[in-house]
Amino acid sequence: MSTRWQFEALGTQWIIESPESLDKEIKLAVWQRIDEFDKTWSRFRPDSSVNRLRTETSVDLGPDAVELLGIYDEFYGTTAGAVNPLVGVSIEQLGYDQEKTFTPKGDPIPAPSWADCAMEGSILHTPVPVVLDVGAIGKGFIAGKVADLIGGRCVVDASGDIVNRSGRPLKVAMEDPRDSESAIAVTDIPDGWSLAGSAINRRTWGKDLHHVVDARTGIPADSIVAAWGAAPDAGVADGLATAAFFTDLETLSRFEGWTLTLDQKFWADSFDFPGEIFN
Amino acid sequence: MNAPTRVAQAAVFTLIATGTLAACSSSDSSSLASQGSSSQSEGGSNSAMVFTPGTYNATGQYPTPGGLQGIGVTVTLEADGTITELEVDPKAEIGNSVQFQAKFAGGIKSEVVGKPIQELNVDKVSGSSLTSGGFNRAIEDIVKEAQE
Repeated sequence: MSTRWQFEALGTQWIIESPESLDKEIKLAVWQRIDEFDKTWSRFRPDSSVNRLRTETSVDLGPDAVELLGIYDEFYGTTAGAVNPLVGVSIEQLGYDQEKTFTPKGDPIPAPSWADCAMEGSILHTPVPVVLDVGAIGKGFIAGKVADLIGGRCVVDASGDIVNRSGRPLKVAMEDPRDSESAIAVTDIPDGWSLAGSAINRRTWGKDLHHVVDARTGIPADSIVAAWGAAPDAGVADGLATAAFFTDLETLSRFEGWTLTLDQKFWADSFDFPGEIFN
Repeated sequence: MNAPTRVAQAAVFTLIATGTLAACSSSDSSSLASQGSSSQSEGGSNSAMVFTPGTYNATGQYPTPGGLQGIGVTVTLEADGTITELEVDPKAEIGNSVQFQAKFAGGIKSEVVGKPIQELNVDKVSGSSLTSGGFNRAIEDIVKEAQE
């Protein structure tokens, strides 16, 4: 990949590599695609569609709703409710709220049941007002959509969500959460696959307060410190990297792909991991 | 429980049966080697045996064409001999065994040791550099506010 386009979107650094530089039209289309996604799904944008769900119980969530929430459906079932797009209320209770106060509002609260919601086309019906947060799957999902939009050979890297469409395997190191100069494992991501990673020492705003939250309890994950997932689908890869914090890795093997976790003692666990773990 | 645990238990009994175990106890004076040397550990009923509960570490060694290799095992035993926790720590440092043991330990558990990324010649790095710019700035603001 010889050219590199770097920009910030969704509050994250994006790097798109491609053999030749992308047309201005394509770049504009990519930018608009991400912005549309943000306008629909960001709980930080006052005008977003998901924010209407704080006061309304039926909202049209646009063209990505069926596919994105469909992936959530699968993970909700597989993780017995730990991964749930209604986890926003739990995360905001811990302080990662619209105003970014980073101050807990009280004891943790679990998310409402996702099973009580219903989709009618792209319209989501909820029994009560909710705070929707697609942080577990959304960034990987939109990174995959950006790669689709570009169409040709590319590698899309949205700060850790990496989509490989380079036409060859991509050699990727898993960064050591203790030391950004070191790696704990290395693997090849096949062409067409995506990789996602998540670590609880990032997006942390206090002791035991971070963004990877179990929707069943409203409490942040505490036994796993970092997790990676890879799959042909970029949204599924992102979902695996979150679900691995809460779920037996063998249970996640129903998805095509692999998972790798590090626990508090920095012991690795993995399922179907095709690379080398340094130990 | 699940398949990796069963594999792990099989691995430990294989080690007990075939390896030269240099046992040491991390929690009390009991020795895994003496308990493990019982023939009853090979899948038979061990209802008559009494174990001292605790966590035990052992290192098994075995010869390979590349030299003597070691593998470390930590088990947590209950009084009836039930293994409640097991971790395998490959210690091999010579030749092919490093790679083979990494594969063996995958799916069980093994402590990771960071390797310099510069030496790995990779296309990409995935992991903890996940903090978004917006999040960083928000935290910086809070820290500033707290210092004022």
